[in-house]
Amino acid sequence: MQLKFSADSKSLQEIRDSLRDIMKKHSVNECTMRDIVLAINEACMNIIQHAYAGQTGEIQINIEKLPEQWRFILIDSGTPIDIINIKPRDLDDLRPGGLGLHFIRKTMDHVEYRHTKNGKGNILELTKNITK
Amino acid sequence: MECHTHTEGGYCIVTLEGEVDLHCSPRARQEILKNLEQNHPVLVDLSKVDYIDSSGIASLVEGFQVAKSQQLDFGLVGVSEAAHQVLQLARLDKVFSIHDSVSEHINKS
Repeated sequence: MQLKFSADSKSLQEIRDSLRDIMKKHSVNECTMRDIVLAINEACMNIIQHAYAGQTGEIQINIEKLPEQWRFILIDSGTPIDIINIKPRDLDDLRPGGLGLHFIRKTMDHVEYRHTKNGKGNILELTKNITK
Repeated sequence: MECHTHTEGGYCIVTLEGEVDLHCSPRARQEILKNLEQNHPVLVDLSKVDYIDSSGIASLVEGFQVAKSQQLDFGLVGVSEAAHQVLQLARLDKVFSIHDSVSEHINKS
């Protein structure tokens, strides 16, 4: 499955609703669905705020259901991110913001960042194991 | 997301309803901060929140910090299951003052 959205905060509701529809059609349990929706929403927020940083653009979400897991690949053509220095902040440092990466890593089983082959964008691969 | 404020027991109760995300959390942030700037203690009612992302949580954290700097009371009431799970992920469920209702918060203060 391939979904495309404009990289705008107005799209986030549609993104979440689309994911929920797909998860419900596949009878994904509530807990897993909640984790997936949260992680992908946060990932899209990061794309909007950092990769595109206010510029127009597109977010492509490829969704694959494998026997034991769901795989999501988010592709953007925004500014290539500094992959080496991506890290969630220390939660003991109480301040607004900076929680998105932490939420993604806590809810997904595998998180991998890379750049597109042409070096002009980013690919984020997220996988979530299916629990029965 | 819907956002409205009423007063009860000397507090401004900011009620958020629906899904609090990057697109609409600025309104929540503005409402919380506006009431604090007017020197009112604030309780944020999250009982009707179906979803909240990190930007929504950031608004709550900012409210908490501004309230603390102004020595005003700030808390969360009626936290929905959806909101509670995200607060737990952020390890903020032990940071905020959380009660089931406005009256419970007021009686415990």
